[in-house]
Amino acid sequence: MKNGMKNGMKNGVKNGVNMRLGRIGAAEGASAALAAMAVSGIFTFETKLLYEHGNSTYITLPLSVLLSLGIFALAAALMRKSGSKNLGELYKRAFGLAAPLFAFALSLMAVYSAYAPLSQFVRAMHGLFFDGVSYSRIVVFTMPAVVFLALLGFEAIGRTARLITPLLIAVLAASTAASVSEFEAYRLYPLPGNTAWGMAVQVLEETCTFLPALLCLLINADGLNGLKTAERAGRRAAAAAALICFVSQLALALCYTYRELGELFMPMFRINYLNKFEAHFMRLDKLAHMMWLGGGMIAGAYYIYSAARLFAQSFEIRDIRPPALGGAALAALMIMIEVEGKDREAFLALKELLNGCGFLLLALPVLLAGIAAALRSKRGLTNAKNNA
Amino acid sequence: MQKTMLKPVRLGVLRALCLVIAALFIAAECACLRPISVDSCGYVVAVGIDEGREREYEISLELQRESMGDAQPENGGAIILSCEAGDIFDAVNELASRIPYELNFTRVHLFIIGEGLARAGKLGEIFDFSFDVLRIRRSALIVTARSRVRDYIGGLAANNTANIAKMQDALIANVETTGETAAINVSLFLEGVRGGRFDAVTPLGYYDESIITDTKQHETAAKGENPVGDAEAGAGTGGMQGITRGSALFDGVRMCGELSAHETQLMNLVRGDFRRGSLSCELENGEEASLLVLLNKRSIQMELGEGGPKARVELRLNITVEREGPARLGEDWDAGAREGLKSYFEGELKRVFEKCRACSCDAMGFGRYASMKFYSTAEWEKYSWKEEYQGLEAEFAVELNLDDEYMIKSGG
Repeated sequence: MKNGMKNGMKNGVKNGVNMRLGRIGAAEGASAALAAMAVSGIFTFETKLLYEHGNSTYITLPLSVLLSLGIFALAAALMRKSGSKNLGELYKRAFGLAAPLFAFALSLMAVYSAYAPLSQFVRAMHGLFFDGVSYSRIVVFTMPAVVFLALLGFEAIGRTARLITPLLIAVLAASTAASVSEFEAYRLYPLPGNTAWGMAVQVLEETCTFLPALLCLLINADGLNGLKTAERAGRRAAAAAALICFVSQLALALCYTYRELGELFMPMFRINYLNKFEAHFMRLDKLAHMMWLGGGMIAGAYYIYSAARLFAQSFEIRDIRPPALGGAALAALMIMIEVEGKDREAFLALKELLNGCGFLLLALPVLLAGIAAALRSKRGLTNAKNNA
Repeated sequence: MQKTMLKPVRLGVLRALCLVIAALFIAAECACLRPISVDSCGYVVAVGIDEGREREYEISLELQRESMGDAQPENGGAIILSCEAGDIFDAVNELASRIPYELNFTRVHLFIIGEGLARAGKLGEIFDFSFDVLRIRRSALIVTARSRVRDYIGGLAANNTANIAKMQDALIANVETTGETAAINVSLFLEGVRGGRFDAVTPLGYYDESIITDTKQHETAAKGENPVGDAEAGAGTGGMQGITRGSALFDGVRMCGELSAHETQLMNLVRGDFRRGSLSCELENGEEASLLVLLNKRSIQMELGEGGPKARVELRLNITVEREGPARLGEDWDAGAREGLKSYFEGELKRVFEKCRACSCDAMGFGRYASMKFYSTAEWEKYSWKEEYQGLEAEFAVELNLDDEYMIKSGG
């Protein structure tokens, strides 16, 4: 035990005093990223906007995952070329003194990604579970678990995700299987519903939901035993997330028409509400909701830790706890503004803007940083050669 | 060497930590923000809404008696609460002052709507409330009651058991095995109303006070009486006084007509809901026969041309003659009986379709097939199926196979 603690301290010191990175493998990294991508892909969208022009999400969401994977792979390749161990290092090499500014922006986007599913779950708990309980009490009920896990660090998040993510997939499969009897192909029509241009725009917008989870793998790449493992984890997570999004959205499309889906808040929660025949099994969906909430908490912790790590690294703070607590507080604040705030309308307008162009805010700086860092390292090598 | 010995210890600590985290998750998720004792709730299993005399609605709630903390199941059954109110929330407030427990709607299985309200198109207004606030699931079935809703619910509860949960199962089973009624839940009803690809068809409920219920038989027999023997000729004995048979047709949210049990069977055949069961038919010479029908194949083709929509429905039915009467259906199968039955089915299906179309109810769901002809939602919504449906021409082609021909010919 003593040796274990000693070893743990050694590991902590190696990674910075309190960076709480640890070391995990591709399976744990993929589980954490998958939990974040699946939860975000299934539960965060505003249904009114998502299904406004018909339901083609079972096509667009997997495509968004694949697009995110493409950007992730490109960023990873550029990181390797520039010799950066993680995204924070890449930013430093590429942007120099301006790096903290870009890192801060990405950290904010990661906190926003944590807020998005947690906000939905808080609203679902308020509406579906806890009759007469205020939002603030539900936030107080939910956030400590997220903060606790985020403070435990990347390794704890990855290992917890490896325990919980298979359960999430099993629960999703069981809920989908339970509603098979009510599947009707006509609900898919008009097929594909949206126009090609509309679908293309949707793919780009939805990328904002999946890309942060993959970028978080790059932020913590050194905790994943290097870039190669991070890439492997990203590929696995993206492939599984694309499949999960396809299956869940197709199941929803077979259960509800686009008009019905547009009216439902968190439609995956209602997938078993259509069954005319109600067995006791169907009533177990409340347990499924709680499992998904667990997934939401892991996703929240994963994003908040990654935001804190990038922030701490860029501003040279050798402790992730203050930024992690700040990130969690910001996420909780955003939830409270959305549900009860005076400036709710302004916040929702900002949210819509972020959902619309978040893709550019996420992808452009990372790719620019990659290109710049790769060019600098190439120039550095040439100069070194010339000097020699 | 030291490294290889340390590694398992570290993993063990982490695993323990992960288990603690998982346990904390479970503990946190099992915690309750607003604990309520089961005994302090009255569980509503059915909500009945009828026209009120002084206020807009008369709302009746059937509650499970078991939930009141009674340990003896034979003393269970149902409690019916009713009051006049402006809406369901108003009724909850009104009833709260009369009952020493909290009403819980999570177990609602059935909505029973009075025919008057249904015909006045009030269903849209009735279902325009937040199901989530009352925790009512949209899987709850809808029944339209011809008699007073309170009487019908009383008829369902008269056997001293909370029949509603069983009734939900029985209704769905009835659609599949007898086809004499329809089953629709709130979710499908709202889909029909908002989506415009089909119109709702709900089961029709009646109250028959002449039926001598199981409980009445049991109680009066204990007193040495014979209620069955004393009953008037024709009075039914056993079962519930609430009967669910036939179906109500809706045009959007407004009830616009009804189908008899026989007509509902034919409608369910086209919809594919009635797959195997007994069906009586009237032959050309006026004789009646009973057939066991198995729906073997069903296909619907839709064309949306210049001259209006056209549909062709093809059904393949396997027939077993249960009672053929003097017509000798089995023996004369190839000598005209097949053709006679075929034209009977085709004519009857067309008649039921026209009856539905006359009241603007797409009961057979042709709109589902029409929507398959479109690529974008904008085009489909512009098409306006409900208006086009008035001009729909449907052709029915029935293919019949005699399943027990061999048995009949051999005298078996």
